[in-house]
Amino acid sequence: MKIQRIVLFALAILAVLFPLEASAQSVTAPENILSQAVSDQQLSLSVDTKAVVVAKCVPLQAQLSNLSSRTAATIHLDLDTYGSTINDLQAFELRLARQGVDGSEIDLLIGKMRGAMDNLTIAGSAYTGTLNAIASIDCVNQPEQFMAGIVLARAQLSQVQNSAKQIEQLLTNAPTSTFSQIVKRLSA
Amino acid sequence: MHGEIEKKLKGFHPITAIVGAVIISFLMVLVPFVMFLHSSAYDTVKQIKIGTQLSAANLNSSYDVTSPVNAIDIANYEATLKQKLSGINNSADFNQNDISDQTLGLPSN
Repeated sequence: MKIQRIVLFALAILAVLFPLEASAQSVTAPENILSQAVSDQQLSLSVDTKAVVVAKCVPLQAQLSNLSSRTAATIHLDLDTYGSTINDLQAFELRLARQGVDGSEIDLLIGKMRGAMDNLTIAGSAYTGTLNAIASIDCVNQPEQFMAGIVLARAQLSQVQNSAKQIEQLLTNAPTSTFSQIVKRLSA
Repeated sequence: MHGEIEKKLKGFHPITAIVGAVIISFLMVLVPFVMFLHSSAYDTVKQIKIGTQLSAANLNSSYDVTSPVNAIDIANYEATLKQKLSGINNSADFNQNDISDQTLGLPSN
């Protein structure tokens, strides 16, 4: 009777914890990214293609790992630049507020920049994460994962490009969309 | 006989049941928390946090936040901003060609 209770108690704990653990695993594990990509793309490679991928996989893994590190460093530098620009803009906003001039366009620009910077961080993290996952697969047994990962990385790189372009566009347009309004107000 | 039936009806001791419930609740919180700490989502959160802290630290230390702004200040800043942006080359930094089949020497699908 006592054993039955203990078994039931253990089953109750497992019933609660297993779905939690499983859902957390499905979201986080990097190796799942590539298996999911193979499944999503319904990828199957011909024998010849598989042989080429297996032969080139190891040197390409080193190349992709370098690309991941380089991209992460570039994104970090870009975010530093945009971060310091936000500081400049906030300083302007404070100075304008002290002299009683409305600087709400700057506030709007900062908000848009922060959103775009978060998008760039997330897109960059997904892209470099996929490159790192490709760089750590078993080349002999997982050529499908390698190819599916490359296709996925291309899509993620497009998102990185879009996010980076979005911030650049915001700052390129700032003289007309933001600063000209404030200059008008200062000159009035 | 009566005592035996009463014992059967008792089930878990209340203290045992409470301790069990506390342990299960603790595990329900701990497992997702540990999984989150090991996830890429947490890496992203850390990156955003570092950026925010750097931004706040910089603003507190070295920025003029008191003197009045005039149109010339803004014109000068526009030029500075243009210069800053010239150091960023998105099309070269994030180039699709870096992972094209041709660059990687892979067969096209």
